[in-house]
Amino acid sequence: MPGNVIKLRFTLNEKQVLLQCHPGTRLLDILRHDFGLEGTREGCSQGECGACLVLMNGLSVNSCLVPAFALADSEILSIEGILSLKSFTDIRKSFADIQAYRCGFCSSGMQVALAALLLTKREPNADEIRRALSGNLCACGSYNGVVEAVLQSSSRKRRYGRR
Amino acid sequence: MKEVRVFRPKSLGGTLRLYTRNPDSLLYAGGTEIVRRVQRGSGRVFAFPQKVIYLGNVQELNRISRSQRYLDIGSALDLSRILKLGRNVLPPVLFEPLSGIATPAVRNLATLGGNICVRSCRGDSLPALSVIDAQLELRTAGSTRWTTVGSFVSQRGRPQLRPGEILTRIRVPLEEWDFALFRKVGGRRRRRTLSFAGVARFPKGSIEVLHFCLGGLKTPVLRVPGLESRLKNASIPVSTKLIDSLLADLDAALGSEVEDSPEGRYRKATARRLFRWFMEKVNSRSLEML
Repeated sequence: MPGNVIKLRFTLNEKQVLLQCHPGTRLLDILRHDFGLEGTREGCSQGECGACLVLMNGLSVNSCLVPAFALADSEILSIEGILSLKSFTDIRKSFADIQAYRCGFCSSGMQVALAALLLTKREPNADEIRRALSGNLCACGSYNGVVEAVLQSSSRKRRYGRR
Repeated sequence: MKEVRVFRPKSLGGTLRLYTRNPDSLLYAGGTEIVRRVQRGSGRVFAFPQKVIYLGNVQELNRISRSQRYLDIGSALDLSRILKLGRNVLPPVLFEPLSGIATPAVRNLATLGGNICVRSCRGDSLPALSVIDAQLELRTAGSTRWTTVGSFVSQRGRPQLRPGEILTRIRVPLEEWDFALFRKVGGRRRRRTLSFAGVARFPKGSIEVLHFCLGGLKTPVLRVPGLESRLKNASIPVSTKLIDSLLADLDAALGSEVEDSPEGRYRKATARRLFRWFMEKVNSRSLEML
């Protein structure tokens, strides 16, 4: 049936992509199944756990709540795209140094939430970090480690300047 | 898979004409509530109805304009962009409930229009919009009308929309209040949630105007005008005797709003406590101002 398929053009991780899919397909499934970007995880599928966060036009959104038809002409940055950003290298180092995560299931969602924060605030304080992470659930309780990692990365930037 | 036809109009005129021609279509803006209902099993494809009108590209519904007296908020504007106006522009009594809705990522999708029109998330913005006398603009292809929040939401909680009508704008008055308070209590389930919004202005030792509203009862937006008018010109601090007599009035108004069950009695008691607490806060704020 022709009505079942829509053609979409959008930017995914800084590359223009074309996609044909059912208009009701979730962005989460488009990323995982159509593009093989499995860093975006499926948790609750109701927009509550934050495991499936991606950046859409610079704002974090739950990809399980976004249907395909809302994607046209948008810019999507998944965790794979965020990790390749140079500005995010420092934070990745701090996560590793502090061993911020336990099982790591929530890590991609948390890092997307942090990327959204760091786009607007270069050196956020602990309160701002906690507020940015308020939509990310971590069963292992790694919140304090994540906050510490971001603060450490900010203080490293202050000490050594931007690289 | 079910056939779904999605319209993506760019102008309001086009949207209204489309909706008149396709009255059975689903209006979709943020979709945070709708997609939860249409998810099937593990997801993959949302089971939308046959026709969907996507409002995300309609410029007129996605902007804010500000005059000296009002803030006009497009109904398809996401909550994050509204909150970016900050506490200094947005009335504090409205800022509080909006900033408490869901998570930051959901607020990037969810819209104020959706919060007003979707029954399941009404505990949040409606009481706040009601106490500041916000107006809602409803348009069809050939007509425009304005209504209050109280008359938009029926006794049963359904939005009072005529055929082909769309909520297009929310007009928020930019008045100064000496005291504003919003509280939401209870669990996340709608039936258990009770919200309270109140604002007051008391410039010269007496109350010039005091509005309060309860949300989450049988009437989704409960204002008690008789009680509000009794407080007009009352000297501040308001005496305990007057507060007690106001509580008796509130009891009468709450009579048909709650069921005679343990939960109903709890809700009634909570509504009374919230009102008393609000009045005590008004009193202490008035003393600070002296």
